[in-house]
Amino acid sequence: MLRSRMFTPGFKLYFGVFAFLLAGAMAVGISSEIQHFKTVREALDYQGVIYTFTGPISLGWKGAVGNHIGYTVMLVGAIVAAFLAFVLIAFRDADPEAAAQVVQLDSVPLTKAPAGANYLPILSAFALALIGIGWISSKPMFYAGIALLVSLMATWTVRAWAERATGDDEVNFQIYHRIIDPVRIPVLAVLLIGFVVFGLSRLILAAPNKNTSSIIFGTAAILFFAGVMIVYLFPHFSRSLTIAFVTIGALAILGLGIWGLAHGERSPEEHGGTTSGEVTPTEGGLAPITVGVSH
Amino acid sequence: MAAATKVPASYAPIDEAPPPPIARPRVVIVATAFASAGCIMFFAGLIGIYLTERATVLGDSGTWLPDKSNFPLTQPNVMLLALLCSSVMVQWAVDAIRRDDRPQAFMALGLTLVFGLAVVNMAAYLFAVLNVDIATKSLVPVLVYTIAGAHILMLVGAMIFTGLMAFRALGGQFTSRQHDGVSAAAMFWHAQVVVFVFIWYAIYITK
Repeated sequence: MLRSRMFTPGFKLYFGVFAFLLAGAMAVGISSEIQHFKTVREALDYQGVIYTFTGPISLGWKGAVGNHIGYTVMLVGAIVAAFLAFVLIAFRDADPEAAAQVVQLDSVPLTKAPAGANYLPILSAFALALIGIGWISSKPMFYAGIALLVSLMATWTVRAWAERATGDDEVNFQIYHRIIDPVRIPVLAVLLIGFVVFGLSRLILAAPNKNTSSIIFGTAAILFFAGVMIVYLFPHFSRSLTIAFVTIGALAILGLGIWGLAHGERSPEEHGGTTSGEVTPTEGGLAPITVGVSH
Repeated sequence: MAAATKVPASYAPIDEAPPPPIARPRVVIVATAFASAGCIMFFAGLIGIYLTERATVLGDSGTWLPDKSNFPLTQPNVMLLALLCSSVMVQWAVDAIRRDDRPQAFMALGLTLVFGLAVVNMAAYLFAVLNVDIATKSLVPVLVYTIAGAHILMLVGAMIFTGLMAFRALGGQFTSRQHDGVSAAAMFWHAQVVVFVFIWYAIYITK
């Protein structure tokens, strides 16, 4: 049976960590300072007992501390552990009676279970990775990552709010979609269209000649129309078929688009030569200027 | 979320839905305490490296700060004072929301954000006058910019957290009965102020 205790288990754990790290910091500070001597007695005789210990105790103010990194990390770790122990006991973490008293109820409220799958955390991690890679390699990628992260944060905020709007999960679901769909669907549609257009354009521009480009364009159109017709003709499997077609199509456009980018565009085709008497325009359409040297 | 019912979203029976259950208290505060602890340990490692390198160079009778560098005290002192004032502001916000004094809570949260912006502005000025070239052989520029820049990132994160809680407070989600979000934002704000106190002493005072 759970009952309140003066020192909670969390406090006991972190207080123990605090004591351990504090002792460790003193040990690291003292041992790394006297390691230059052959024996401990020699070190104490040389610099005195008080000087040897006052350094780590006074945080390096009234004496030396040997290994700065080890001493600093362990000392700050001890301070942080003490802070956590204080927080856990001050706010009575894992104490059901105290939690119920705070919200003025008879028993502690139940935690709310997650309502369905949430892909926003993993997409946010992808956005952070995009920002990191773009920071080093490509400015457009960097700004795209920031835009994606901001939009995901806004979506996550709306979802977190909607999940707690009422006590009915289905109503919360409808509220969430009422708010997010008018924004999300047009934005995703534009991005999807842009993705398809850009991917296909890279593939078409990489084709060796104009006839091949026409065949690629026609094939893509026929495949798209066929997919739509199949989804229409088999409504019972429409959801699975749509997911399958969209996934295969996206992977195909992505793969072929990357191939087209790597292959590069074909050279522009010639559009006939100039006849005699015609002036060949220079860049910008200006008449050529000849500069002569006078002797 | 659960699967959609046949009723379209535009007809969601919000008026008939039961009120939301009261959230378990203190969860956000404890989570923020752990996040603050992680951030403080990150800076502990960085400052430890800085102090070690500094002690090594000074032990070899060298000069730690590069030639022609300028480490003034005015800007860091102003930043420290602004952050200490901002700590008072954010705690004022917690006290106000605890007493259901919403106008004071909004004012305090707004002032906290203003102080945060002031610190970012002064940090930019400080970086401009430091005159420390990152392309030198010395470790000082890399360490100073890493530590100071990381603190600015932590400050921006604290401002975003505080801004979000201010937005939720404006929406009426925090009352004297439940104000964990504002308390958590205040805790993280205090943590980044403590981090700057360490940075102020280790970098700008000891030099």
